[in-house]
Amino acid sequence: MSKKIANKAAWAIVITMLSVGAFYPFISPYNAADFSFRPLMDPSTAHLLGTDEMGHDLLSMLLAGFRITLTIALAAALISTFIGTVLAVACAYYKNWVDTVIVKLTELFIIVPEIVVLLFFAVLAKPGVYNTILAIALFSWSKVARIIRAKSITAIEKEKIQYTLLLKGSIWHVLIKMWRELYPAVATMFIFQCSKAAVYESTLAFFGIGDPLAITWGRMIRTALNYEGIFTGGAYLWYLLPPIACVCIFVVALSVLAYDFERE
Amino acid sequence: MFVSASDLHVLNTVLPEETFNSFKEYYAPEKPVAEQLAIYIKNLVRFDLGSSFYYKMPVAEIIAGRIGWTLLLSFVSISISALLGIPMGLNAARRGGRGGKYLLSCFMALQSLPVFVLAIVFQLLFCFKFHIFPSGGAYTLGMNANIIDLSVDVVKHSVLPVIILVLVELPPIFSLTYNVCARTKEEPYVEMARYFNLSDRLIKFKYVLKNSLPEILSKMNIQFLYAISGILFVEVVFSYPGIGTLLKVAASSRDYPLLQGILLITGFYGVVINLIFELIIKKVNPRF
Amino acid sequence: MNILLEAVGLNKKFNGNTTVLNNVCLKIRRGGIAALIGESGGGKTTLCRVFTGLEKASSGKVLFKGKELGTLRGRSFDDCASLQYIFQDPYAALEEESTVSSVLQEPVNMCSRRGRDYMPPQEALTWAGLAGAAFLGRKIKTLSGGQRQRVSLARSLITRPDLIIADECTAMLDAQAAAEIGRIFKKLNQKLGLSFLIVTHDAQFLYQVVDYIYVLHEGAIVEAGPKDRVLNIPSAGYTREYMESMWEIEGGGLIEQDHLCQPQ
Ligand SMILES: Nc1ncnc2c1ncn2[C@@H]1O[C@H](COP(=O)(O)OP(=O)(O)O)[C@@H](O)[C@H]1O
Ligand SMILES: [Mg+2]
Repeated sequence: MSKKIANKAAWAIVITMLSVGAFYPFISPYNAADFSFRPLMDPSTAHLLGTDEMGHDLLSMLLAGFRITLTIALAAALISTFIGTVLAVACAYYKNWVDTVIVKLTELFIIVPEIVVLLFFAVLAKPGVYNTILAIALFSWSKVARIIRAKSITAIEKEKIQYTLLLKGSIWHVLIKMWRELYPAVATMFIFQCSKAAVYESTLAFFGIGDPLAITWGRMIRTALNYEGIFTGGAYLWYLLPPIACVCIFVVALSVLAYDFERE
Repeated sequence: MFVSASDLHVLNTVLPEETFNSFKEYYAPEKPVAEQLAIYIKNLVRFDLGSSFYYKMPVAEIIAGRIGWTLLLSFVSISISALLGIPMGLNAARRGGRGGKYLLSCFMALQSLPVFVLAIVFQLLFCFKFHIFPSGGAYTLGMNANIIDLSVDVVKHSVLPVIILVLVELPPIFSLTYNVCARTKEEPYVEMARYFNLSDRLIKFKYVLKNSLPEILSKMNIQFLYAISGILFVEVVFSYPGIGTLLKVAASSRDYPLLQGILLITGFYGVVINLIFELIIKKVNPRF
Repeated sequence: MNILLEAVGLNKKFNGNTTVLNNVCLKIRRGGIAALIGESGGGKTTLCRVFTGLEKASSGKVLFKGKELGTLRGRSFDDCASLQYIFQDPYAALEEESTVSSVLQEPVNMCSRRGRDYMPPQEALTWAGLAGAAFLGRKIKTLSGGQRQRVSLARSLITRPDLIIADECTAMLDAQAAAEIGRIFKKLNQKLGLSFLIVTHDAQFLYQVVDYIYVLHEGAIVEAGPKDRVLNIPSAGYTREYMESMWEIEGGGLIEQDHLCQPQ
């Protein structure tokens, strides 16, 4: 019973957050890029979360962060889930050395944490939203590949899929044929990847890497921490905590959904 | 990572002369890739990781000066997590029922949060609001004290980072133990012991734990590897002078040689941990 | 004699030691219906899977129309299409959620992609005794075991094969449905000149459908010959045992009267 409520709440949260991201220009009080306000104002009816040291309206920045953070999370998760799934099916389809190489690669990402490799390559890349998405997507597929590989190896032994092999179906034919078997696991992994991508994005921003112009929750956390007086007054309450809360709520809601999917 | 001549041109314009020269000497980018690789491997074998742009010192030397603090956090936090997590998992599995499952889902949520966010929130509460712990560093700078005071100081600085690390390392250890013990509990020999009315305590330690421990131990290497990324972020938030803080400096100043050195040292750490665990597993349970 | 499929010294070991096929040699004539019989676990399925390429022989070779067939990957599409396989379990071989027409569409697509002449699905269904356009829209999960097996048969007819290998394709059907499948095989053999290799335990099949019998015992062919000879004067000791045990189970007419209970 309480499980059901948690699941419904998680769906409600995720859908609300996605709609805020989609429609934020209509609900945002000001333009997020507008820094013509008096800096460091406390919250007031005109500025519900006050302003930052540059004179941006913090609420507008937070709302703008919904769109960019969620776009990065969804896009990176989509690509990494795709890469992971295709590599996993390739393991089952080609077997032999292809399987060995892909498994070794996923083991490499256990030995060196993804986020360290990701940081390394994100530093090498030109800062920008596209590169952030690509960097996250290219270095976070290992868990998807590991989990889907196990499913694919059992699925490909099923007779209905062996028929496609007998007709010399390509890896894509096999992937499509197996989709019904793989779909629940892939959906779970996609949700899981969304959550991971949001964490990685904020981590990159926290390390000062990523697009310096894109307003994301991670970058708001970073600029809040860069501000000297963040902990001395009450500024952290409306400057630092809201983006932190957004990341946490998003990530926890997704992990509740992924957990429930897994149970089914 | 290999450097092409055009990358070099970019660096030439942003780096000071001497740094640029040492960089060029290390990577030899004008030579063909095969030769670059040969030079690079030769350097690695001699533990020559190049020279940091930012610190203007050999990377190997910088890392050697920092790694002790990171290893300290890593071993202390994992030991505490194991000492707490294994009994907790065992107890929850033995009792069965909802308690363990409930704890498991709370831990799942905790685990999904970014580690640095947890660290920031703890720092905010315990350092800036309640002033219980120092807010950063591994020891008080410029303290001229005897060894006891110094140790107390070091411990005080490490309490908060360790607590946060335990919070992120405990859940996977707990769920690993819970799952393994829950499975062992269903084995026929444990059922048999219960049938013979052996005491709960005996069953718990002699049968369930003893038979689960090899599997738990053999999977703990993942915990060590997983812990490393948490440690790096906690260090950054608490300005703890380990590899993580170094990573932050290297990333924000685009110090490629240093970054590469850190990448290699974490890889090295992972390989060593895996080797150690392979030995442990062979000792504890040759059947794996 | 026109040989369609030939096995030359096939050996198969699993995991390097358990021998499942032991120097199997056999020739299948074009235009006949051959049966492969033998005890459970004797390696019949393994032999069929080696023929189709799903399993790789440890040594020996398979010749099809005089040409050596390699592993599945090494075979041409035409070879795969002309050697079709019907799986034992009609419930595992077809996707529950698909419709009959989409099941039949798969080989059609494969053939038209590679420029091979194919049989229209409607015609294939008619051969398989499932006439009626309404049938194309049925979901697989609404079909009985016998209907599913006939859909499988129709699917394999679409590529216009020369040989159909059917592995205990009636084992999970009731006697009536099995007899119907036997009649269809016979008709296809007479009207289209299709050859069959049928793995079966069904006495009715052996007597009424088949014209040639191979006996596989502990991985080796112990007897081969025309139906009448093998059934009536089995030469190998194993074949005699097999026939006797078959009649005990089937309760047919060859057993002496005193083995049967007389009605009081
Ligand atoms: N993939 C496999 N791995 C190991 N052993 C197998 C495998 N497939 C079949 N076998 C073994 O090969 C033997 C023959 O099996 P099978 O060909 O299915 O026999 P049949 O179809 O005549 O009943 C059995 O003993 C079975 O256990
Ligand atoms: Mg069989």
